[in-house]
Amino acid sequence: MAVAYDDLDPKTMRRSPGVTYQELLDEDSHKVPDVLRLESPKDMGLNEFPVSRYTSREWFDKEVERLWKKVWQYTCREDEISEPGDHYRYDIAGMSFLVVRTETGEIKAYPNACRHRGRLLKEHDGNAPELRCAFHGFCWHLDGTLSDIPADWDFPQIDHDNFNLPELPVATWEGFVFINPDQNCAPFEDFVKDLADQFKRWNPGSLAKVAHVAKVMRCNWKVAQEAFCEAYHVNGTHPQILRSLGDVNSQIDIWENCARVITPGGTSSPLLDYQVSEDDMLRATMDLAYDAEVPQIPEGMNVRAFLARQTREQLRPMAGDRVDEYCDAEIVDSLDYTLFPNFHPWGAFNGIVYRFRPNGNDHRSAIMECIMLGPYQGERPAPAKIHWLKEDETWSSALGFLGKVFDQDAFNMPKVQAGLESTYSDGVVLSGYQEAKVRWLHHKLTEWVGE
Amino acid sequence: MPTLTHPFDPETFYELTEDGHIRVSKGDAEGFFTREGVHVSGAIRHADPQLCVWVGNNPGDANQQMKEGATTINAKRSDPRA
Ligand code: FES
Ligand SMILES: [Fe+2]
Repeated sequence: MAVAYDDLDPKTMRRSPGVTYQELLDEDSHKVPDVLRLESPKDMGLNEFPVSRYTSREWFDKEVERLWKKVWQYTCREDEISEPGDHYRYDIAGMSFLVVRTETGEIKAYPNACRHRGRLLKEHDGNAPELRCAFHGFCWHLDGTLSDIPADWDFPQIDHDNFNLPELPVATWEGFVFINPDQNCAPFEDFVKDLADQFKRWNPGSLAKVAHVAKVMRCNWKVAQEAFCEAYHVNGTHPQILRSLGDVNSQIDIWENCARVITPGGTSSPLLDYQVSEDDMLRATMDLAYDAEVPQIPEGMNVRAFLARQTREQLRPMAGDRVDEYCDAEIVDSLDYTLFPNFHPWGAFNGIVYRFRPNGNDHRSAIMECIMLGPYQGERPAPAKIHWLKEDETWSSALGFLGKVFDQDAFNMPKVQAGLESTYSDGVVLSGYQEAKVRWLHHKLTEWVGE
Repeated sequence: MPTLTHPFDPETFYELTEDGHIRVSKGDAEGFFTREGVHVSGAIRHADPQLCVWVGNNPGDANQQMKEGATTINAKRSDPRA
């Protein structure tokens, strides 16, 4: 089923002028891990993808049937359901599921629906000794076996041994719990393999969830997601960071089920036609005024090494000496991975995990979430609870500087949707290399959903 | 909020005014814009909307909370799914 793409030769392929990402790694003050030396550029063609993927109800319905009902998807962190009886409600495209910690410590997932007349079993996350429906009181044990039917003399048709909650496939990876609504799906291990191999070194399971922010965005879920899948938009959307970001020097790598965009920090954009001073690079990184004082970079040290050194010391109280094992690139660059279809963990201590999904059954609105993972000392802190932003609340009000950047992305989203509804074009145009992750996502969608 | 210059146009300054507008200036010319880059007054009639979004966006104490890395953004909102 999978599409095979031709490999590109990183030495000869078409690329942006300026330093390459691999050349930047050569200057690193620390040993660069093998995972950053991987290069996997692919020739995936230059075709357009239909605008209807974002605007048509019919396409959305196909997406639900062929993708959301079939694919492995991230639900919650293991430590959000750490005690027996803890349950988490996961909703996708109008369907609801319950992820439950059982008495024996296993994690199970069920459709969030009572087998009597269909009410949601649990509308909120929480803890309960059993799964009792609030409508007529049908009840199941945490392990999904039937426990009680009030006045069961009136249901002679129900065989108690055969009235369990249907179980869905569940898997965990690095503290993330995945489910698949398809009981006959392919194994998770194959699905996650490419990503898992590359994340071994970073071990995100050792990090705690320190923030979780969500907001409904007025656009198709892919409009929101794709805003975070390339760095090409930085010149238009985040101009203030061009002096300290190698936007179009990003390295994009494509594997079967995952892809990544690595964007270097502490280097200036090749789109600027003048030499950027080190001071201006620091100002752009730290969001300082055009004339603000900046720290002095020691003689012989480059900006990337300097920024990495500072960040290592900020991280050290929480992360310990592990910070010394991480090279400058791991500290300073954006290592933005995507596991198809909608899970986006960043590498190293970047700590960001994005998730994008349809908002209920609406193909014109999406739920965007940002989860932040962070290192800790001593006992594992309780996972941060989800914080829903209202329509008029900014991302910056919850996430500070990072949220300010999202607010610029969010500023585009409803206008992209409105433009897609208005365009006379049949397709969206994507670049060959810089937007390769978006292209890969669409090829995957073709594979799962169809043209 | 710091005064920034546009990387593609380093002679042009963007700053947040006390009444919440963005003042854009170049030499002796100036213009005032909303936080979404809509022209309000002044001779400069066009500004980069995204730089207005940036300069007008004040995270308040959220920046400090994030730096402290704690789980301080608590769930003060109810879940709209319910
Ligand atoms: S330049 Fe990309 S959408 Fe307009
Ligand atoms: Fe962005």
